[in-house]
Amino acid sequence: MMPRSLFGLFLLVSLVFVTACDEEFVPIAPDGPPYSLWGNLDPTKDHQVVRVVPITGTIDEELDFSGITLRSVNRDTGEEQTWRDSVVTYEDGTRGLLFVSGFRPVHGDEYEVRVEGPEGKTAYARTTAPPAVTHSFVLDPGSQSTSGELLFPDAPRLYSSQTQYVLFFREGDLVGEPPLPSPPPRFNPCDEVVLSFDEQKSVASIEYGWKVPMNLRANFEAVNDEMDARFGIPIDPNDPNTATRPPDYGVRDIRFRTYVADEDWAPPFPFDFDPELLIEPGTLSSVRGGFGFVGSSYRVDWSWPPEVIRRLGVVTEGC
Amino acid sequence: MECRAWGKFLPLSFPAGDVFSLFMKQSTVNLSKVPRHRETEAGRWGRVVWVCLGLLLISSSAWAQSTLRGFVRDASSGEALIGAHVVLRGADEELRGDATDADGLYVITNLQPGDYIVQASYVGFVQHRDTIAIPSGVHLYSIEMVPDTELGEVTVEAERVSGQTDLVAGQQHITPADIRSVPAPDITGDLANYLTTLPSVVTSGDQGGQLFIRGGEPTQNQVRLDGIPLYQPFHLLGFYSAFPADVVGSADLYAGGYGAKFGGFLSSVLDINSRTGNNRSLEASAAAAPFVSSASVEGPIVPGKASFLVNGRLSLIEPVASPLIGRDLPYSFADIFGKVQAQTGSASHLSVTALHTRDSGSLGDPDSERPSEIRWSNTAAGFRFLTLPSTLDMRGEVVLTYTDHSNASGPEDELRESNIDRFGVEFALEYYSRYVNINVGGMLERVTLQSRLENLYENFEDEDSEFTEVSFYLEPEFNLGPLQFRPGVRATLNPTKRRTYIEPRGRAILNLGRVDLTAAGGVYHQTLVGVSDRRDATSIFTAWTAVPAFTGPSAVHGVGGIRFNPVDPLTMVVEGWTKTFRDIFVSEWTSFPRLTTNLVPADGTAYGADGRMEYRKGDSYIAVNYGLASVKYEAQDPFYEAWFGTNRLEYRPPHDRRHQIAVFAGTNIAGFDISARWQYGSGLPFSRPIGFDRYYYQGEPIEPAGDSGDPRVIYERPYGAELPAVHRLDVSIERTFDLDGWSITAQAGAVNAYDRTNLLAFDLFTLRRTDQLPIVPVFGVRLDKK
Repeated sequence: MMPRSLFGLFLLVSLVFVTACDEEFVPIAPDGPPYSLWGNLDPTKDHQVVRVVPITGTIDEELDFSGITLRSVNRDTGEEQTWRDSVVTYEDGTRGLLFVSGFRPVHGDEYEVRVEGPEGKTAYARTTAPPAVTHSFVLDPGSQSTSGELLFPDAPRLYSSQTQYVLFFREGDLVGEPPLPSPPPRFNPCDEVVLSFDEQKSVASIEYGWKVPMNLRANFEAVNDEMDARFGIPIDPNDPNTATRPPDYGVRDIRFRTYVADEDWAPPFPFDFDPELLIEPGTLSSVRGGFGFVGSSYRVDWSWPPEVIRRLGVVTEGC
Repeated sequence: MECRAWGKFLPLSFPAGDVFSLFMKQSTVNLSKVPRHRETEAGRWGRVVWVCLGLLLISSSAWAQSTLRGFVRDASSGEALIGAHVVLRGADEELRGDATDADGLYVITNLQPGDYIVQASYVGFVQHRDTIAIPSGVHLYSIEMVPDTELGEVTVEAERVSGQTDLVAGQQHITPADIRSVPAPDITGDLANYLTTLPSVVTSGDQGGQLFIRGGEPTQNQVRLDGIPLYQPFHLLGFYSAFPADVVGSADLYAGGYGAKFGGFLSSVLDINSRTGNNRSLEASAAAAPFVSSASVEGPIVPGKASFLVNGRLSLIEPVASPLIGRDLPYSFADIFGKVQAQTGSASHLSVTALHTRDSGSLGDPDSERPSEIRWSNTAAGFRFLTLPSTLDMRGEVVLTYTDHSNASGPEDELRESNIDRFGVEFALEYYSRYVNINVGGMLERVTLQSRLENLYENFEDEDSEFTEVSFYLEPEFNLGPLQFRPGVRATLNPTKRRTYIEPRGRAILNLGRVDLTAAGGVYHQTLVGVSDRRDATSIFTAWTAVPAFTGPSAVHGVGGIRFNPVDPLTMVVEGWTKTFRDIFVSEWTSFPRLTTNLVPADGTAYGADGRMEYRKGDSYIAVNYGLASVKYEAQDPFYEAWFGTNRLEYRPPHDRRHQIAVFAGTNIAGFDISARWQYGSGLPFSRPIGFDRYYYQGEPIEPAGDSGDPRVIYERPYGAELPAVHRLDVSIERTFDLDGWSITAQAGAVNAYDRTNLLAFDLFTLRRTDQLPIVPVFGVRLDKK
């Protein structure tokens, strides 16, 4: 009968497909790069640290560090550095393979850091230690001026630029009485608070380096708002839900911090160090044959002159 | 001679002289002398309104002519017969006919007053034949057809209008018989199980209840039950929805290019009409199988006038199916459906429908740290009133609906929730004439949204919102000989969002004998959008929100097809389709291995073709479906310039299944109904990792001695790899034993009969896989009291 024959045909065709459709599933791309390298060669320090991260097949895979070596060479002088490995356990319980070397990179020299695994797989990064630069501050004209520019001539790059406000609480307020409904940290007279504000977006290039325009008075409004938000005191002590004001505080110091870095320390969009952007592998990487970033940078600090700070009308003495 | 109904589109051939020689009994009724039905208060009120509304139309109608219309019902139950053919033969020997719609209504217009022979036919029923005298004017002639227990003698085989090849310009008509023809893990059958066999429908597996229809996402599909919008009426186990075959009267899946009657969703419409219940006698049934148990009761409230139908199902997956197959299946669901319908006159009826569903469970690896618990529920109710004004060639209906949908994911202390409350009022009028039927309608809806997302989408703020939307449509239907053309336009105003949409639509069918050419298209917008994180196949939580005032998703559809039957039992359909999407939202690409994400705008392009072939003879059939599809998204993000060298990332979304094949066969051998289904789906795209490392933020000094860095996943290009293909064979054998007033049906079979290991989801972080169902022995029993 025709219909029953068709039914049999159906089963036959199905079986043919069944045997023909098996395939191998490879969830992890084969032959991926073996290592990520992370480190900063600091020409102002006498020891350097580079981390080698083996690229694993799962996020919680047990790491095997055996047979991994790290070498580096000054490509300008041919001098090789000695590195010793160290396995550390971080606070979060993860383990890491660190290589430590007791040398100080020379400003302006190029270094190559190369990792090699037991099976001969390698990855390397090259970086040039940035030159030693001298910075200068130019205050805008005017007897009550609180703005100016910090100049970094000959600096290849600046990153992680920020201003830190070192503040202290003064007596006379309802100290220790946190406003409701969300109590801030308790504070006492002379306790210090450090507020940091990102300045990286203000960094601008000039013909032979970089400048950081700064306006202390404008920035200080943000400091006041932050102090109000974190330590605000109810204007009406009997009504904790009323508006608040910042506590009575003085300014111990206002200091600027940045890092002078090599040319490679450059995000794809100028000055945009957005972690959502940079986390994509390869977006900001100096490593060949692998992932990660090994750069070279050093820290520079500068403090606002006290006489300029006092122009804000704040107390700088006490405690 | 041929008669056809819009959407059914199966030509009926009536050899002159033969059809009416089958008459066993003839009677002549003069309709002008038939006493009018007693008018109710509602009927009188309705008449006043209809007379006012129809004055303009009266002037344009050929008043000297006649219209015959009425309902065709099952004499044993009083239920509407959907797709029954009613044919008139007058003195001029010309045949005029119509097929009944979801209400069992037929309308034959522009008749010359005089004597006619009327014949109604429907599979499994004794042909109805009568002789009537039709004076001028509009007349009601309802028909009650008697089931033919012998089957075959006087039925017309070709009238079976459903089946896999009942596809017309993107519209698939589905009957309960279709649903029951597909092997399922229980006896009753379920609409969801049938939908997954269609080449237009892609699922991510047999769990999750997510249907992607011709390139669209689940949240872009509109589901309506008796006009009530439902937002997630599919259960966690992919074989089940809120629509068991016992409840479904008929369903139409508009996979694209749907008409102006529907709006508010970008991709598709699933329009379901539920059964009304038996208004003549009490019936009950109960069924049990490893996955679900169900019970159904229906019967008269006022015999012959009003009926009720209650159907409930409860999953048995955890206590029964899970131990049976030796695998943890943490799924639980239930649904209950109720409907009351009353005839308020011979030309009007009203119904009240109510539905409640609930689902809870967990997809993915139960040991994973990534939670995938999900639960959702629907509570919905609707009131519908249908009337045929006594003197006008019109029908009209009013529908009031209420829907409350909520879905939630995660543990209690981090519960993510999204709720929709919707109230709507709709009206629809259809004016009939010989060459053009005019459809007009409108809708007013008020939607209230509440979300608590626990920063699931980092750039998507939780906010409660509400909006009001008003829509109107006009859709004339021209019947120009072999050509049916249905242009339309839908206008939507959203005063809350200050948006106005004008959406042109169009459908056309050209009948060339054994060949039909079909086409459809339109523009679509969506105000209420659902956002899901498609990076994870087990994450089916949906955040519902209203689009912002300045933008909104839109789509353009195009469908073109050919349907032909080269020899009579064989029918073939080939249909091409395309959809373009604008301003939809997708999850942002990121290498942070986290549960949250950002939303970025995207455009999409989807196109493909369905090929279907069906051979049906007697109780046996074989159907082969093939679906070819390609879906591409183009997401926009400024970061993509840095990552991929372009600010528009083109990729295959995770539901882009390139090939689908489904083969069905069924037959009856020695009283046993045997059916089998084999289904194949090519691999779905996924983002394959190269590996995992740690990341140090370069905006700060890198200090690996004291900082462990952040875990990072290193991917290849997004969605550049493919998961393995999936395929399985389901078989079923069942037999019904009739006893005195009772029937017992026993079923046995297997889902995934050759125990194929099909991947459902793969945890890329741990390389742990979750598979679809292994071989599941199926056995069940059903008891019916007639």
